[in-house]
Amino acid sequence: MKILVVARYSWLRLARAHYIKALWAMCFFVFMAVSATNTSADTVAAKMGSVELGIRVARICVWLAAIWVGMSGLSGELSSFTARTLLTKPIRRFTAVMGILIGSFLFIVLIEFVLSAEIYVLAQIRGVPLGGDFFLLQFSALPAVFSLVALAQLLSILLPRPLTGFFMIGLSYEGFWDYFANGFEASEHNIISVVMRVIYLLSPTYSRFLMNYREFVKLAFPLDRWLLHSGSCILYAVVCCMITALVLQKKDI
Amino acid sequence: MSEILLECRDLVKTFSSGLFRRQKVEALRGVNLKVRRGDVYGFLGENGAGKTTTVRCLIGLTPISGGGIVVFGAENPQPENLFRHVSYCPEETNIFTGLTARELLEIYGKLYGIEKAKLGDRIDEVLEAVNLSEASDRRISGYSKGMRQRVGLAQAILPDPELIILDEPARGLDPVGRRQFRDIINNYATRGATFFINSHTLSEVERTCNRIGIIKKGRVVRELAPDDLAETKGFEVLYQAAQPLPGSESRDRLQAIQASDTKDLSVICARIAEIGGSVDSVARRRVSLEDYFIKVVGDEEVIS
Repeated sequence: MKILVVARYSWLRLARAHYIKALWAMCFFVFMAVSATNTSADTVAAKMGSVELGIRVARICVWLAAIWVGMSGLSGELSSFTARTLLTKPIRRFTAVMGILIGSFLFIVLIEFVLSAEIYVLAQIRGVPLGGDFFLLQFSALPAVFSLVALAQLLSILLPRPLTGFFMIGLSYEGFWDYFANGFEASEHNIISVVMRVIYLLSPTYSRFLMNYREFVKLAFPLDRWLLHSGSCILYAVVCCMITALVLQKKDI
Repeated sequence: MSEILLECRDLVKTFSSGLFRRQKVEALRGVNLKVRRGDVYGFLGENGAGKTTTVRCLIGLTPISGGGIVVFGAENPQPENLFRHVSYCPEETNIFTGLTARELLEIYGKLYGIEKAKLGDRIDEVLEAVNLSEASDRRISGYSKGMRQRVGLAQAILPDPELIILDEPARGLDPVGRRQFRDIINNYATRGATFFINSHTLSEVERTCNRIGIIKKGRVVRELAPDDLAETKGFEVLYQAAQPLPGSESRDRLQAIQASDTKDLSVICARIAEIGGSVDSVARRRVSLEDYFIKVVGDEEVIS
C-alpha cells in the first residue's frame, strides 16, 4: 500500500520538522485553562467549569492545528521542492496527495490524544469525574478534522497561505456563520440562498458537527448519525484529494 | 544503432504569467533530442536557455504545451509507468533532511516496489556504492553538501534503473566530491546504465559524457561527442630546445608549437632536429568544450 508509505513519510516529516514543539505549547494552554481556579467558589461546579474550558481550548487547538497542518503538508512539500523527489517515484498523484493527507491526519490524532489524556488526568487530579465516554466524544470529532485537513490541503496549493488560512477559518469556524448575513447559521434547515448553499457545501462539516457535538454531551452517543457523518467526511476528503491531484497534474512543480 | 530510451519530439513549453495569465514566455521552442542505451548524455546551456524546464518536462513535473516525450517507446507516459524504468536524482536541496539516509531509502524503496525481503540488502549495497554506509543512521540535516548530493544519487540508483536523470549533480561540490560523484557515475555507466545529466559544469560534462547536447533559447542547437572537439587537421608539438622556433609558446620547461597539417608537422619536426632540439610529444589539437560552448552560445548565427 503505497498510500501508507507516503503517509509514514508525511508523518515523519511533520514530527521531525519542529511541528512537535507546537504540541507542547498546546499542552501548556490546556493546562492553564484546566488549572484556572476561581478561589471564591472552589466548588465542584467551578472545577467542572475549568475542565470544560480546558476542553474548549483543546478543541480550538485541534481545529487550528488541523488547518495549519493541512496548509503545511503538501504545500510545504511543494515550497521546499522536496515534492520533486517524492513525485518522481512510480506513484500516482492521488496516492501522494492521499498519503500526505493521512499522515497529516494521524498527526492531528496524536495531538487530540495527548490533549484529551492531559485533560482527563488533570480532571482526575482536581476531583472532577470524567467518564470513559469523554474520550469517545473527543475522538468523535476526528472525521470532521479529516475533511478539514483535506480542504486546507487543496486550498493551500491554489491560494497563498495567508489567504488559505483566512478562508479555512471562515469556512470551518462555527461562530463565523453567526455574523454572516444577518445571523445566518450553517444548518441543513436554514439555507437561505444558492450562494449560501454553495458556501455551506464547501464548509468542511466541522462546524456542523460541533453543533451536534454539544448535544452528544447531553444525550447518548448517536452511533448511526456519527457513522453517516463520518462517511460523508471521508467522501468529502477523497473528493478534495482527487481535485488536488488534478490540480497538481496541471501545476509546474 | 542502439535502442533509443528517451526522445523529445518538438517539445514546447510556454509559461503564462501576469494578470489573467496573458503574458506568455516560450521556455522551450521545439526541443529535439535522443538518448540511446548506454549514453552518458550531457545537457548544456546558459542560464535561462531551457535546461531545467526540459528536465522537468521529461520527468513529468511540468506539463508540456506541445510536442511529445517518448520514454521506452511510450509517448507521454504517466509517472507510475515512467518511473518504473527511469529515476531522477534531484539537486541536494530537494531532499527532506529530517530523515536518516536509511529511512529515506526505505521509504523510496517501498515506493519503487522493491520487495521487503530484498530491500535491506539493496539499501546496504547502494549506501556502500555512494560511500555513505557509516553515516547512514545519521539525519541528513547533519550531512555536508556532497553527502546530500550522494543521498540523492543513492535514491536514484536504488531501483537499479535503466535510465537516470541527474539535475546539476556537481553544483556546489568540492573537487573531491566531484571526483567521487564522477566515479560513481562511471561505475554505473560501465555496468550498462544510461545517464542524462543536466549541468553547466563543463569540465565535468567533458570528462563524464560520451554525448553532449547544447540548448540555446529553447532549442537544442548542437549535439556532439567529446571526440568531435578534436580538430581533424591540427597538431600540437611539444619539444625541448635551447633556442625555440619562432611562433612557439613556453609550457613549463617545454616549448609548444602548432602544426596545421601532417606536411607542416614533418617540416616542424625537421627544424627542431636542425636546431638540436628533441620532440617530446605530438598530439591532435583539441578545442576545449568551454571554448566550443562559448562559441555556440555566443554565435547569433546558430540556427535556433
